[in-house]
Amino acid sequence: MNALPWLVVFRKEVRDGLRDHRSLFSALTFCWLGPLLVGVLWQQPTALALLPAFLIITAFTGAMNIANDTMAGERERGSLEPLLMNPVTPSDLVFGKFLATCSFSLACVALTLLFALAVLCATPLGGRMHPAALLWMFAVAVPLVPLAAGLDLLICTFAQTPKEGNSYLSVALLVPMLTGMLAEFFPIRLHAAIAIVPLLGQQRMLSALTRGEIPHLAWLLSSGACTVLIGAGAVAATARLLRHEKVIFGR
Amino acid sequence: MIQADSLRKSFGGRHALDGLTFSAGDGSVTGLVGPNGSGKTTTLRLITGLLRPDGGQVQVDGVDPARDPMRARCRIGALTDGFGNYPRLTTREHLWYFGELRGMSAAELEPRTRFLLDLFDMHEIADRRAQGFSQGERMKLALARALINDPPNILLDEPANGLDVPSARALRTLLERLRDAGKCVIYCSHLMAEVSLICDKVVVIARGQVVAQGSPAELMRAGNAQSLEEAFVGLTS
Repeated sequence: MNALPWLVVFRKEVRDGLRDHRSLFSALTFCWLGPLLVGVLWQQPTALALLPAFLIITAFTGAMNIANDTMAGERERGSLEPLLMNPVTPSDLVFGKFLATCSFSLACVALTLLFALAVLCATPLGGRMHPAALLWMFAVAVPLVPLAAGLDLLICTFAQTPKEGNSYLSVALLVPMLTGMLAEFFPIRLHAAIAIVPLLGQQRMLSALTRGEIPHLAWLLSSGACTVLIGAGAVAATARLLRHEKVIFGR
Repeated sequence: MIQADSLRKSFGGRHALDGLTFSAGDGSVTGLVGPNGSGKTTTLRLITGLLRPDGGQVQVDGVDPARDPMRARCRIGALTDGFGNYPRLTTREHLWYFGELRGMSAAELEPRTRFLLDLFDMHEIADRRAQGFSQGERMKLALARALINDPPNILLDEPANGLDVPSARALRTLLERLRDAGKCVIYCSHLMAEVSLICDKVVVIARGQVVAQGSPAELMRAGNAQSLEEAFVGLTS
């Protein structure tokens, strides 16, 4: 039986990404760094407040390298043109790349939470936040995965080389970083309207979880839906861009 | 068979192609030669449907790539300038990736991969990652990849660039085999010595138009020249 084109692309990108050890190392560093920092600062009353910011950033850094390699990298090594010369639609290509990017981002989010679990078990922080709250954190953070993957792919579509892609992505990474930091310094009360704002809604819900508060299920679902929708929009825009001569050949 | 009829294409007001007309038949190697910027690569991109013409039409075995790019691409295997291999994939993985993208099943890919590894003498590098391949190995891999579904039309953009003598000879032998197998091969190159050895017909392009076409011997006669290179300089200057 013939494999679906997007599945072929997905499998190739995952295999390729797993062999890119340098990128894996950099993505994994973010996974343990945040929880480790929380563990080191456990005596501080605000130690757990670092966790939401790191979790959000991890979703983006997990997607960054593979998104960059799969879009700007294709251009740099001259493989985008031969790839598009196959009887495969740009939508299938982008969807396969998107799913592969999501896998890496999701793995990084899950690993961060596993490291956080280890920290909660190894330090008295487990008394301040129940380890089961990490499952809720996972549910809140999962919609960030397609958002990060979609936006990172879209951004990298404009880059001719991974180096150029990296410079765009590092600027874009400021958005989740600043959202996480500013939301802690200037706490905004979590309510329905805030919950649906991508990044901010997740940040506020994650922050509430570190204080032992469980967010409303309706907020969690509406926030997730809005965030996933923006990610899907970014994927559709990327597929659309790959139909343009100017984008394919960088004219 | 590939036919280009009155092709026109502009980029930002600059005419890349200005009424280009030629045909490349089955069972022959057609050379597309011209100075830098003459429109060779643009022509190949129009044939694969990656670019849409501003005017005129291309037919790939009767299929217009501007209207039905997916069907046209099934009938084309293309080797682009720079080859575009993936450094972390092995030769076999490349062949399977492109084969699957072309709708081939595992049952079809197994024998076809073996055949191409034999044809290109690539068994030694079959399970080696492409990172660190020599220029000749990179070319062979890209060409094998382009031939994975045994397409009837083959487009080669500067395949001999940077090849050493044994690799260039291997390429020539391969092109002869493709021609003998009845394939329609379009061969873009700057290397006139290669073109005169390989091509049955040469289409000379300058400023987006065909300035001459015929066999290498006919072009030399028409240009009153001793070599194809001399004839080329006379025709394009």
